[in-house]
Amino acid sequence: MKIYIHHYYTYELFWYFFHATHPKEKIPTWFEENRFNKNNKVNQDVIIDFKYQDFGFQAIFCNNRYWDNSDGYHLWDYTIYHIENKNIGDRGWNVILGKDLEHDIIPKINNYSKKLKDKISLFFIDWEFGSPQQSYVIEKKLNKNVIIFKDELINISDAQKVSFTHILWSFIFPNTIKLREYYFLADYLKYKKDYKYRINYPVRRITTGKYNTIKKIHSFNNPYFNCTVSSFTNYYKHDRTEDRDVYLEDCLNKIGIENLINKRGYNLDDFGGEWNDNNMNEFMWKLLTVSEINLINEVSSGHSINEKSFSHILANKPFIPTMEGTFDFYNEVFKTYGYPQIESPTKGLKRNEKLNFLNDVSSDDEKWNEFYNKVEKFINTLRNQILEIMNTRNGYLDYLIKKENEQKDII
Amino acid sequence: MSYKIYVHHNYSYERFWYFFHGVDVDINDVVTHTNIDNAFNKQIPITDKVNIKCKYKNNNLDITFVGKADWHLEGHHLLDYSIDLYDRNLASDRGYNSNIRWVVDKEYIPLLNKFSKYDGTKYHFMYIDWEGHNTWYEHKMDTTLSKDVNVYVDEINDENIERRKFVFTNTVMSFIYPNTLGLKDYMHFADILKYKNDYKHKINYPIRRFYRSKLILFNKIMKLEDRHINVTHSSFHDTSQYAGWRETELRDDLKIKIGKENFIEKREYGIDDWGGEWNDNNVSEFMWKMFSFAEVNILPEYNPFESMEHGDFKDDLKMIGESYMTEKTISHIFANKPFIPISYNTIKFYESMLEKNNIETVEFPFKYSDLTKGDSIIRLNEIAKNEEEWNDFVKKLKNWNSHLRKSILDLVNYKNDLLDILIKSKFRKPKLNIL
Repeated sequence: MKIYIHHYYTYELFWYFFHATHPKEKIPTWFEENRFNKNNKVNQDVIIDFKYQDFGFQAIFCNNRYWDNSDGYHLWDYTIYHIENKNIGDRGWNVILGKDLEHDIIPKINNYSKKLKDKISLFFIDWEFGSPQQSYVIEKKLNKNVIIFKDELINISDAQKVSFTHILWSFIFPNTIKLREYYFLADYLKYKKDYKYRINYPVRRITTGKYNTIKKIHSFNNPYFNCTVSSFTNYYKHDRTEDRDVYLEDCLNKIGIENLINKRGYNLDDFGGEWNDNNMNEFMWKLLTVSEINLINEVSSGHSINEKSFSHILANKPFIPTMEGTFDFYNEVFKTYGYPQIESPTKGLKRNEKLNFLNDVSSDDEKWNEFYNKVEKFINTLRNQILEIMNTRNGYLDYLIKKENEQKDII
Repeated sequence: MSYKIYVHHNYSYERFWYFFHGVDVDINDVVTHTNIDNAFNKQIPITDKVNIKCKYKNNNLDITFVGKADWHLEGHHLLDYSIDLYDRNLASDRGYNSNIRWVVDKEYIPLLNKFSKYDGTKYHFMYIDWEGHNTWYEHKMDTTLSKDVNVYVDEINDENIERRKFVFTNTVMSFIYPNTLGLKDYMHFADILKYKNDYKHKINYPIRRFYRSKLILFNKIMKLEDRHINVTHSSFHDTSQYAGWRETELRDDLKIKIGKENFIEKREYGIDDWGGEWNDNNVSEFMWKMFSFAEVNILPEYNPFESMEHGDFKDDLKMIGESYMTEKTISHIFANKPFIPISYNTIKFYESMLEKNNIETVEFPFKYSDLTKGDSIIRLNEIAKNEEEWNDFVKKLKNWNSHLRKSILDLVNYKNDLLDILIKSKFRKPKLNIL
């Protein structure tokens, strides 16, 4: 089966699109263009033969060429396209995303689909939960033959699919926000035992929900249950909250100056601007070492995840999400691939119940040891299962194989 | 005194620290972005002019990043070879790149000669490339470059040449900002690495690319009786990427001798694939893999005396730069990982830097000249055999490293070798040195 990938070749992109496969030969890394300068793009056809689930495939990285070829499937990733053109620095939210869909991207793809019909797959993975405007445009304007692979499990129409494995791999390659480093950190972080706190609630951007959580934790007056606020260099850049000044000031009064994590230190301690990779780098070095368990504010009703939970999983760092939806999402992944469901140690607890529960267990040595061991084991299982799936399954190729088999059955 | 300084590069907060570490500055003035576009996308170069006022040793500095403009303005002008290569997307990191060194002869020297003629200006050209060649003579700067231009290098020889200066603090900072190799992460890694306590080996000698001294030491280690020194070989998976030839035979022989468990495969599956032979890939792989083998690493750091004896320029010694700092020792210093360099000259160099800056030194616990010569490697092996002696040795080695690390990291927060020279240097026609 031929697959045309309409991007510049990199070894990272190969793994992102074609993880879990067995290439016939070691995949290449350099060509004359990027031999001495990895920032140069490889704008030549790169053809790689590989096997997956006993099927033979041929990946043809061909940038913007061969859109006319109907002898194979065609693959295009919206975010990768913008990263390649330096319109964005990473896959996460960006003000420009979505704006070119209606008048630029969709007409082009629709045009290609006139000939290619249902052989085009468009990846739309942006680590954000929904955008009504984008969803509306895609739903209404994109040719129904084009298959969209998205990263949220909600409102999935007929022409839309979810490849869990690509959602997970999108955090690793291309390694734009250095989440891959969290995976390697796990080998060293496990030795650290001298944490100052049992639980820490790390906050960066203060929202009403986070503010209320800090207030609640503060009210416990529990020395083992801590909150940190990382200085969001420019609080106003991403802010959607009316009472931001009040929130910040009150938070700082409550948590104490020692729990304000300054991003902009002097020289060597300067973690720079509010770009996602800088933030994730700062988080890795500063916020995984504060407490035994992190309470993370990942907003998920089971339809999506983001880098918060996944970074902790990669680092094998015990964590509890404020919403159990995070684990519901991972359980969907496990269900899809026939893995056992995992039961969170805080299953069924709503935010306030969870905070009360965490306050209770962290105040008592015996209860804490038992709870910590449970969480540690739970996260370890979660990590092992996720990594195994990432290395053995490929949601997009599963879709193609199923599709080909269905066509054969019809014939 | 007050100084106007024009930096002929795009601005970034990292570049500010590289050039101007050690200054007194309000952190809010060290902006990270200048408009909505580069606020949300760090890939967009900051081409706006950025002005930052700060102080250094009671002098007022009025610094403006101006890109390729304002060459004629009265004041000091900075141009950095490697930074300019990034700006032009000719290189992805600061390390050696033989294909583009012609730019120095064809472009920078003519450009500097032209602009340094402007009255009231002083041009400062930085050439820090982490390599041991003597750029001054290689590019014939003694004869082709205007005498009005100061050159700053990372080689310590030829101290008598007034307009060619070694700048230690800027060389240190060049490994951190811009963080193209991820070496800044080694500094943070120290806080985690210190907890590891189950090393398989006491000493490891990691080899990636082969060259003479590495192989001599390798053979000496292999001949040790009751060997307590391990050797690993990281797969330099495709030598032809950088050298145009392959080292297959040497590698096959070495692999057999060290055993499969000591062969570090760079190209593993999926998430464990470290990619091509680019410097940042190698440095990242080294951090996560090679610090976990042994308590102490032996480092084949560049040694100019080996080049003088055996290198390509042994018959033209002035072409050899006396350089001791590459990412090998710097990475270990930052990560606070105990190391023993092949040549004791490396130790002497770092100690001399502390002495020059009036910082006390701590005694290095092992006296030798060169691990490839004499019986030093045998003595090291003997220390590793004896548990008590080893523990005491490692403790002292850690102490030496910690002291050096702290001293250097402190130093770059209050001292700037470039600025120390700049504030004393004279203009072509010193009309407006004082604002």
